[in-house]
Amino acid sequence: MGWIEYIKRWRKAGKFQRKVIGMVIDWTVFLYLVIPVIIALAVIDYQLWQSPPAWTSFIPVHLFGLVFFYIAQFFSIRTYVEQADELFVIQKGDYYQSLLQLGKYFSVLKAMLAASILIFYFYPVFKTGYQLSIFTVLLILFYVVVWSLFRKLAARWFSLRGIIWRRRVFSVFEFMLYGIGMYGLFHHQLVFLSMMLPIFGAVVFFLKKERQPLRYFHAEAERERSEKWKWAVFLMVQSGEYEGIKKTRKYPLFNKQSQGIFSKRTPEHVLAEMYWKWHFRKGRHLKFYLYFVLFSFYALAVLPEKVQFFVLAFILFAGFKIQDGIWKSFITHPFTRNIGPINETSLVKGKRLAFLVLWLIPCGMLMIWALFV
Amino acid sequence: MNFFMDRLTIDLQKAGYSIEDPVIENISFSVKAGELVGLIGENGAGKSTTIKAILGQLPWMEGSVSVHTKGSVYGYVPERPVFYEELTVWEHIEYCGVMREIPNWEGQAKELVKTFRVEHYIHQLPHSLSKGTQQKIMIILALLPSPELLIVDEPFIGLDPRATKLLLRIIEQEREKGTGILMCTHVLDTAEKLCDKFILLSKGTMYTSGSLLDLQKKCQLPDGSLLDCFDYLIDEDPNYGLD
Repeated sequence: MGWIEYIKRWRKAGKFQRKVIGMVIDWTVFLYLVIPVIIALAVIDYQLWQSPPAWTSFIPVHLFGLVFFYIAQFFSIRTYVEQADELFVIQKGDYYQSLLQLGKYFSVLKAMLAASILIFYFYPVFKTGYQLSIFTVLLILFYVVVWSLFRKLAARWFSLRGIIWRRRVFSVFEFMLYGIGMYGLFHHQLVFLSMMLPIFGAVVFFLKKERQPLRYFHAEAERERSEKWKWAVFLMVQSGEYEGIKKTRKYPLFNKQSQGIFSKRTPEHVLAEMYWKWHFRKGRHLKFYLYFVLFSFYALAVLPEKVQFFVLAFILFAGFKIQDGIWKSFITHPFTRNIGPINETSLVKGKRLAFLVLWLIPCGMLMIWALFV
Repeated sequence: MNFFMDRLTIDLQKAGYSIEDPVIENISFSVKAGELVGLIGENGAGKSTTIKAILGQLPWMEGSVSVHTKGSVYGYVPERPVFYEELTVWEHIEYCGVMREIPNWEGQAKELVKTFRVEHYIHQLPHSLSKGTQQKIMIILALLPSPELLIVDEPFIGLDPRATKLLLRIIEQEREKGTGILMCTHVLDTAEKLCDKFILLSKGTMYTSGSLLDLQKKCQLPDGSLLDCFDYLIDEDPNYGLD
C-alpha cells in the first residue's frame, strides 16, 4: 500500500512547490517573461517546421545531440522520505522499500516525459534539417532517456554514500562517454552499443530494490529535504530574501584600491559610478539583464520582419523597466536612506548617466542591429 | 555658538507603520546644542521606531519632527551597520561625502580614518570586516559632515574596549563643539555617566524624562543609579506589562 502514501506525499509536495513559485511569480513576471518566452519558443518551432535551420549544414548531428545531455536533466528523483519516517515508516521494511522504488519508477516516467518533450520540440531539426528516420529519432530518445536516468540515479547512489569528489570526477567522464555513444549512434554502431549497454545495465541495477535501504535512511531524508527546498532556496537567494552560503570576498575583483572610473568626481558621476560598480559586482542583476539582452537578440534574429518593430519597442520598454527596477533597489538601499536627502538634480543626472551605459547603449545596439543588419 | 538652541524638536502624537496600528504615541522632547540625551527603555519600548520617525523613515506619522541644523544635516549611526555589500569602505565614504556635498570631505575622512585606526581596511568590502570595525566605519560616516546633530542607536554594541573609549572621547568632543546628541542605548551605566537628560520610553509612549537628579527625585532614590530608577519606574506602574 506504499503507493497510496507515495501519491499523497507527491500531491502535498506539488502543492508546496506551487506555493513556493506563487511567492515570486505574479502576473508581471508572466507578462514580461513567461508569455514572451512561450510565444518566442512557439514561433521558433513553427519556423523550424517551415525551413530547416542553416546551421544543420555545418553542425554534425552528433554534436547537436550533445546539448541534450544537460537539458534533458530537468527532473529529480523524489522518494518523499522524511526525517519523521524514523518513527513509524522505517519499522515496516517493505513499506519503506516501496516508497523508494516508487520514487525510482516515477523518475523513469519523468525522464521519459522530459526527453520526449525535448525531442518532439526539436523533431523538425532532425527530420527536415538532418533528414533522420523516425527510428533513428526514437533511438536518440531512448539514448537520452537512459543517460538522464543513469545520471540522476548515479548521483543519488553517490550522494547516499557521501561520495562527493569521486562523483565530480566521474561526472566529467560521463559527458565524454555520452559524446562517444552519440557519435557511435550515427557512425559506428558497435561503439554505440558498447557505450549504451553498460549504461543501460547500470540503470537496471540502480532501479533494483536496495538490499539495505535503512542503512542510508538519514542520507535519503537529508537528500529529500534539500530537494524539497531546492527551488525555495533558489528563489529566496535570487530575490535577496536569503543570502545563501557564499564566499566572503575581501576586495572587489580587479580593484584593490577603490579606483574610480571618472576623474571628475561630481555627485552625478559618483552616483552613476557607484551604481555600475554595485551592479557589476553584485552580478545577479547583471546576469538577468544579460540574459534579457541575449534573448532579445535571438528574438530579433528569428522573428519575421513584420513583427520586429513591435518586438523592438517591447524590448526597449522592458529593458528600461528592468534597469529602472534595478536602479530602485540601489537607490532605496538602507545605506542611501540613512545618509539623508540627496540633491534631486544630481539624482536625475546620475540616473541618466547610469542608464546611458546600461540601457541606451545595449538596447541602441540591438536597435541598430535590427534595423540595419 | 548658541548652546541653548534646540538642535532637534520632536512632538509626535502618533506614528507607526500604518494608520490602524500606531507603534508610538505622545512622545515629545528636544535636544539642545551640546546636550546629550539618552533614549532608554526596554526591548520593544519604541526606541528604534522613535529614531525612524526622526529620520522620516516611518510610513505614517502624526506630529512634527524639526531638525534645526545648517542644511538640516545630521549624522546617524544605526544599531546594525548597513552597507552596500559590493562597495568598498572608501567607496562608501566617497559616496556619502560627494552625495551630501560635504566640503573637504576627503581631508575630513582621512583624519577620521586615522583617528579610528581603520587605515588598513578602507579598500576592503565591509562584510569582510568585524562587527566592531563596521561600527567604526558607520561612526566615521556619521561624523563626516561635521553634523550639529548626531543620532546614535546602540553605539557600544560590538565595540572593543579601546573603540568604546575612543567613541566616548569623540562623543565628548562633539558635545563640546555644540553638537546635540541623541543616543539610544541599553548600556545604562555608561549612559548614566554621559547623558545630560534621559527619555524613558515604555510600551511605545514617553514614560518620563529628565536628568538623573530628576529621576532620582521622582523615584525617591537619592543615591539610586539610573538602573535603580529605571527598575523602580517600570515596577511602580501596576499596569505595566498588561495589555
